[in-house]
Amino acid sequence: MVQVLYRYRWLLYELVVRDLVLRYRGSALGFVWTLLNPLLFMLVYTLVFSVYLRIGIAHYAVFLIAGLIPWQWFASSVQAGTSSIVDGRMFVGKTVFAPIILVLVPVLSNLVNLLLSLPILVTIVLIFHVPLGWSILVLPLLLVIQFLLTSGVAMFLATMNVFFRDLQQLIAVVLLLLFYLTPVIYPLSTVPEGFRPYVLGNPLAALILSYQDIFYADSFPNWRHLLYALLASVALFYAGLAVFERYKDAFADYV
Amino acid sequence: MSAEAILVEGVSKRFRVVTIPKQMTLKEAVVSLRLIRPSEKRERFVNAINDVSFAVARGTTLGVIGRNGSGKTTLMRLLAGIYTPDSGSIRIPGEIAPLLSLGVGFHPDMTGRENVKINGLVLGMNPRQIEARFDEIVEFAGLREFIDIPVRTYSSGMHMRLTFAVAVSVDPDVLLLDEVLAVGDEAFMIVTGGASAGDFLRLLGNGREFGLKHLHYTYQEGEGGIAEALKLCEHFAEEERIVVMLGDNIVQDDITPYVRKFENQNSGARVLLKEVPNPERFGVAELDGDRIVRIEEKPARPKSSFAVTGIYMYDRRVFDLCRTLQPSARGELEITDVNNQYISQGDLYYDVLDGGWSDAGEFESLFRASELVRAASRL
Repeated sequence: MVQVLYRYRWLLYELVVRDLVLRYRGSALGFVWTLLNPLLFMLVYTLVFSVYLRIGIAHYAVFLIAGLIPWQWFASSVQAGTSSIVDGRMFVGKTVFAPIILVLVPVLSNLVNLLLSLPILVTIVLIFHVPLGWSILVLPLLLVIQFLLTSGVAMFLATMNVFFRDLQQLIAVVLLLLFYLTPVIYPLSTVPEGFRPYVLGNPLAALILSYQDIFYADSFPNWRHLLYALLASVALFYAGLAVFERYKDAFADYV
Repeated sequence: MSAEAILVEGVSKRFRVVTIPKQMTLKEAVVSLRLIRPSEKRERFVNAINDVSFAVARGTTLGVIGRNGSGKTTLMRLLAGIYTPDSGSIRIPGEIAPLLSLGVGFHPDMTGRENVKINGLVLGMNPRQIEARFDEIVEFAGLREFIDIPVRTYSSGMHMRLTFAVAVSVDPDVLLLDEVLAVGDEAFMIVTGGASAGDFLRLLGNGREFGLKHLHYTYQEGEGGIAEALKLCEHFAEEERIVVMLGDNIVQDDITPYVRKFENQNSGARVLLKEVPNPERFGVAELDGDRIVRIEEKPARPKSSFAVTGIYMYDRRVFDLCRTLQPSARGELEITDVNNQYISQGDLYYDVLDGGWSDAGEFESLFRASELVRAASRL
């Protein structure tokens, strides 16, 4: 895989650029949407959970956006990644090509979006006078783990979607459900003790908690959460890759 | 390095063909809890390629000919590595450029420039190679003015030329070409008169030797002038644009790039000019920017040294213009009058020929034309 990525590095780069450029070409606000999107969500959720429902945690806006930005990376990548092979039928079967590129394009372009919205996140942290400490040095590790997790899931779903197109429709619903089952809009402490192991069984939840630790709680992530997220992500990555490699030669016949 | 560029041994490929006779209604699907009626789902296998073996030596070309559905494209795709063979082996040691479909990766909302980049990368070029060949690609496609606008605004011809230009700029060890590249189906009309009719027929024959698929002849009675000869082409042009080349004109350059420019021009006409040392012998063009504002026949004091050559490109209006022409003093319908009509509408554009050009209407020019041919054939 590393060889393939090296060989097609320029194509991958150009396709990621194209993905980013096309998303905003023709829209008046353009790239600003990348920043506006999480901010609008933050405003609405803060209104609902902090004012209406009074979830009762300090600086809810900071808490929320710390989890929301990584969630969006995951959700947008998985959504686009699932249909990537089918949408890329203009490539698949038309030329010699490593289809894995197509799956990685949305994962990487959404990573770029995340990196570009980090200044917003930091600004909000500072506006609310939430302290930001050395734990931010763990951030690159979190990004690596999440990259493995996201691309593993995307590769698996992209493969399945070639054979079962319904997945494309289903995935939006599944992601919405997963969103509510992952502690993004509520802290883990509000979950009854007995349910917590289930919540934490989701490696994405462990990751999101780590982001919240860094940007909201000003503490180093729980290393057990992090280790679990790492192991689970590596496992999912290799599982996704294995399934993808197993079936990729059949893509041309089916797309 | 082995002697074979391609070695194929006992390759077979079969496809699964599934026919699903009728879509189920949503109600049926819900009631039966299935998406496809199991009994009606038919599956059969088609052997596209059956135990094929061959070798292609370096420096040679192999053509595969067969009927529709005989497996040519499947073989190509196997060679390209798009399909994997069910059995047998394929060995190609060098770099392959599979030009099986043009414009892979083209996105309508991206500009020509951006698409050339991605398409080139898909075809296996690296960014430096693309950069180096970019101008050449654009020039070949004749799209210099249009390269920075989205390709969705291109005509299908422009689109085709750009994709083709990228494809042919690849320089691989093994080049796989499928029928998609069978373009260049050109139609020609020869207007001839008098005794020279036989010469053209003898030279061009049925056109096959020159790669011409459709060659039409017509005969011009008497000496009615070039514009009259042009009128004979009206039914041939079928309301399309037309390129006219006088039979006694000899051009060293490929005129394709100029024709491309004409295709990209919205309307009007285009002529090719050549800088000559003795303009007073020719029709001389007076230029203003990209247009011609006057053509003077054999002027005593030429306004420029650009002679109008015998290569003219006209839009469909030309036939209407021809009908309004009056015979000149020598009793002919003059092509210069046609060009002047375009000038009066501000619609006559030009290009300057780089390579050699000569007409061959007089002893002097015939001699020069012969020299040109002699020099070219010695290269």
